[in-house]
Amino acid sequence: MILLLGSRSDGPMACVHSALERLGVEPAWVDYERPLRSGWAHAAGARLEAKLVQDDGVELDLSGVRAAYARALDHRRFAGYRALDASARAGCDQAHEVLACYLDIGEARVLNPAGAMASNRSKPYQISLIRELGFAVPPTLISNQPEAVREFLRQHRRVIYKSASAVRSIVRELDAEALDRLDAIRACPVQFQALMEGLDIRVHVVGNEVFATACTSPVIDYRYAEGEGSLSPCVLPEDVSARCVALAQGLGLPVAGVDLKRHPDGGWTCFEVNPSPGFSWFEHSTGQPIANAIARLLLAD
Amino acid sequence: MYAVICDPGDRSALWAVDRLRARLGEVRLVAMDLFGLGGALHWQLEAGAAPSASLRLPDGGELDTRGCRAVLNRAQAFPRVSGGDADAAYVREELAAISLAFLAAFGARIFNRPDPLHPGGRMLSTAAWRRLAARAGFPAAPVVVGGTAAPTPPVAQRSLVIGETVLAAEPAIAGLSRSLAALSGHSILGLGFSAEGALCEATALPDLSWGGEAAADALAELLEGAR
Repeated sequence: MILLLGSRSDGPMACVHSALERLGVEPAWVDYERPLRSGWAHAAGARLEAKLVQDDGVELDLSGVRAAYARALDHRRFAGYRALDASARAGCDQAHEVLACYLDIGEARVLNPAGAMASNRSKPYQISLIRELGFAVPPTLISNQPEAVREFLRQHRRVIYKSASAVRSIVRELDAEALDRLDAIRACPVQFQALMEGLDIRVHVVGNEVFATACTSPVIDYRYAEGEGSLSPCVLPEDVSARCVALAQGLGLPVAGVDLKRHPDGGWTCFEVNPSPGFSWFEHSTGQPIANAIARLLLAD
Repeated sequence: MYAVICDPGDRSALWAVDRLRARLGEVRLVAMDLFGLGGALHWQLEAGAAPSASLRLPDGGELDTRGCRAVLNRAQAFPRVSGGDADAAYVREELAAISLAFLAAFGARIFNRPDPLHPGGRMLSTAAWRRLAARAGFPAAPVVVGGTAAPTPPVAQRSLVIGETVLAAEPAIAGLSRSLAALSGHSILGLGFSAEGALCEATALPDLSWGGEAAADALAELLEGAR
């Protein structure tokens, strides 16, 4: 049995579901829009049994799960859970505890394991790991001291700033207007990075497969190009492709979205690895069969 | 200089600080919440170099990765931020991310190494610990989540792993403790066993004072030998 964990309305989940169906497999779902009723797990020695009761009363025996694809990890953020009373919430929480326990210690292949996905909660922590795993990373400063930031800007000439945590933020350049507000960093340290010239490349790694997309954009953060950017499939040099696979494996992520910059001089820098990439936007724009690769990885022996 | 990172109420850490000062000299006590109190903070990564970090402390001193030889990490939580609004939630996430990177910048000189999910090190669930023991061929109490089952047997004996030192009453328990620390990647680990020797519980933040002066000696050796 293949298990999908998340919301049916989530783009990547829907793509993987369709890809599994095309391969003749009907996956089981834990749809976070429909809160679980209860759960139970028992582990003794090497034996592990676990069951969930879904909102319609149907029991799901996790013992038969050979692989799972998980996009959402916190069920409490979904409207269905919020609408429950305290007793029903307790049952749902327990079911998710069972689920987490099963995914943590069971034999199923999990794309991606929760522990491995956590490295992205701290971007500076993650780029330290990326550096150790063989990629060049952008010079980075985190500081709450305006004078240190001005010195960093003098040194690197153009600098961007963005969140240090997994909270999504728009990458912006430290321009004159931002410099006017620089004293605000005394209240909370901010992450600054040297602006790297070149072409943004998003690489989706699925097992040993690599799908690279060139992202052109008139703005620094191509995700916010608002129709003025373009996505097109591209081919990576073999060594860069191999390094992307090694990086994802090193971070314990069978599925990963690796953000690279190809510099005009031919060099490469890695900014970040997304452990739960929203690949459907790239797949729809480029026709790259990313969901199919994930489905095949779920079905692999 | 050495440092101990802990909550002010962590009596076990304070016990360790006193003994480490007697053995190693200067040992700075640093609370996690200081990361959010506005002291000058820097974390920097430049091309070709490992990250470096520094934090100005309220007494004018500094915790920095270059001047501090090793850290005993007893952090129990990421920095606290008061308030329930979106700005407070954002600052909380940012300070967690930054303090994690800061602690990790000590590399192999911080014990235990911080983890993205917990600043004090990798925290496995009870189920995961027992599964790890079972997979290593050692006895472990059953795990039940939900439903009804016999309660976990009470802890009848303990052990404490500090670097290469294992403090335990029985050789079999010492062997299991050493194996579990190696499998989980913890330099410091506290374990509890049933009377029959089955693993009941494990923690990366054990009561260090349980091991007495032998534990203090082992901590000093661990920090002094850090590279």
